[in-house]
Amino acid sequence: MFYFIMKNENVYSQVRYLDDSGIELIRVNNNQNSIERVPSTQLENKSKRPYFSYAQQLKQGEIGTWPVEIEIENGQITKPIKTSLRIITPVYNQSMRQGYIVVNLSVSNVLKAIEAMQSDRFITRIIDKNGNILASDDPSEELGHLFTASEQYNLANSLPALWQQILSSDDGRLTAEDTTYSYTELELSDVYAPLGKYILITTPTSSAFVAEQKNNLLTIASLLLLLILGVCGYIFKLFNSHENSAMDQQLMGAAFNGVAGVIITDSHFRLIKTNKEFSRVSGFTQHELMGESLGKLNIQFTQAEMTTIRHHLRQDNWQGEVIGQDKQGNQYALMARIQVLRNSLGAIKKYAITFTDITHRKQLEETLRNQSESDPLTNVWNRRKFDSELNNLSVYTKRYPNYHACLGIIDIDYFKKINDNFGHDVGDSALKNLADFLTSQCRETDIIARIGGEEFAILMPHTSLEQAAAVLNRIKNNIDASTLMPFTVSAGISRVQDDATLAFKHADIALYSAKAAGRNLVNSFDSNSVEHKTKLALVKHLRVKHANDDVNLLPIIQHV
Amino acid sequence: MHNTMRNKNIRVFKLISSIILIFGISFCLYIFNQYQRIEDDQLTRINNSHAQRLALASERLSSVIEEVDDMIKKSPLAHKWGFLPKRPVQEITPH
Repeated sequence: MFYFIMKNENVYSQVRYLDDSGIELIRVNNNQNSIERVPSTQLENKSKRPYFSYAQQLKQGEIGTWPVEIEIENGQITKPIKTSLRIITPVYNQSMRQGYIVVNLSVSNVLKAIEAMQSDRFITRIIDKNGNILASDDPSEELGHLFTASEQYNLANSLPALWQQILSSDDGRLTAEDTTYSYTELELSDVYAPLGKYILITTPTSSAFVAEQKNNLLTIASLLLLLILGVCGYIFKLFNSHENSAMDQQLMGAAFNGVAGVIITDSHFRLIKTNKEFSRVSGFTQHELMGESLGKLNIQFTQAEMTTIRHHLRQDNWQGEVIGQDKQGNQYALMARIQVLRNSLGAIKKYAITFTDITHRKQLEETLRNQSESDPLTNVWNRRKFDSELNNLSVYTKRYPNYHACLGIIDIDYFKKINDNFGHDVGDSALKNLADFLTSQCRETDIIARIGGEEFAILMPHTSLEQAAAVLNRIKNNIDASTLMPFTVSAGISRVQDDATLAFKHADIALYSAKAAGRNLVNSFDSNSVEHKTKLALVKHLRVKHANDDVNLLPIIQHV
Repeated sequence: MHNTMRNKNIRVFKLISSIILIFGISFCLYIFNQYQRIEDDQLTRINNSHAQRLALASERLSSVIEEVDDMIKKSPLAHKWGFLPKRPVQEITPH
């Protein structure tokens, strides 16, 4: 019968029958689903065990339970450790107590029996009224109150918050430290109450599935965050680019419409864009010049200048003065800078030409230069200009020995008398008239200068000595015959040679000879003339610049 | 003109910043909501499974106790226990 009882329900660890003196008469053990009857030689006397004393107090038909404890056989704790609840009922025959049936209900087996689904994630425990763990899926927790080393497994000690909650409510739930606890109170009858008061189930709050979901969420969040950052970055870049572009446009507008002129051309110097200053200077509208070459602006460059500009543009910029003609043909002067604009590959794409109008400055310079080089009374060149031109001509004749150029010096005869007799204003008028006359009688290429009080010089390039003599004789004769110029002139002519000073001395000596010969004469320097040679030697010796500068020379020369 | 351009840029900047801020807040709320949903789902799953397990365990335990009780009540009557031969006490060591 015991065998079938144990076979039927796998919650018993032992079923036995004790006689009324506590001696085992039958015992059937369940060792890990192996049901066996214990041989009579191994049966024990349980009369001294406390639960037998308890059993003796039971009345007929009464069922008693002895609290859960560790099973002991032959004085030794059973291995593996078994915890069981003893259920005892006395056996009577004709009102005589015959013995006791003692059933050991294995708490562990009960726990296994009530667990519908085994799972590693769930830990189910049976707890008594004091918080002791009577059975657990984790055997190390069981019966901690019976082992000094495992006392911490009492819920009141290990999880006081949970235990307080359990005491205050019949069922409930608590989540603490990544573990969720659920409990319910077992409403067992008083007899079976020692089997346990509560069932407690625990699981980790976070599962692998949840962790995976969280990881997925984290991945999505990261990707979205990156996307947002990327979009933000792109938008800010666009915004910055737009702002920079707007600023560049403003700067370009400010620069383009400033006081400087701007011309943008393509790589073939065809105009792409110009500004108002350029239109003002050139007289052309932007529309008229669009696509046209710079040549239309009549900019005057020599071949040498073009070569220099090209050379500098290889180094990306050139700066210099430019002379051009506006739409009406008026000249203008610019201080220009040409900047080469290249693409990333270094190819020339555009030229940016900026310039400032220096026409007025150039005109002023020209005026000042003319003033510094011309005689204010007669408006012909002054001595400084004359010396410069004579030197240039000397250099030229030195370079080209067959080149002929002549110098003539004209002096008004007895000019002092004019001043003394008629006043300086008449003298000045005579000088003006003579200057105008000389200008009208000479070629445009001739240089006419006033080199002294009443002395004028004429530089005649491309002119032989004979031609020069003819010209000066014609001038002398015309003056002599003129009623506007009531005076005569004397002139000396020399050939311009490599030494400018010497050429001047020659002309001066010739002039002196003309004066000495009675005035109103034109005399050419003759290198074979003894008189001329003597005077030249004397002048050289005295280091007198002009042969007739000092009238004291006359007696000396006459003496010689 | 410069000020007008600057004000326009500031307005655009503010608009873009606001859109990004709103988008960022929405994104954070979405992520937070999703996180809460996962947590809530998990808690619901745990609650359901715990409630189910506790109910089943209670039911099974009641059933086991009922069977045990039934067995223990019937056992004394199911056999002529008095006919079992007794053994002398001195043969057996008490434990």
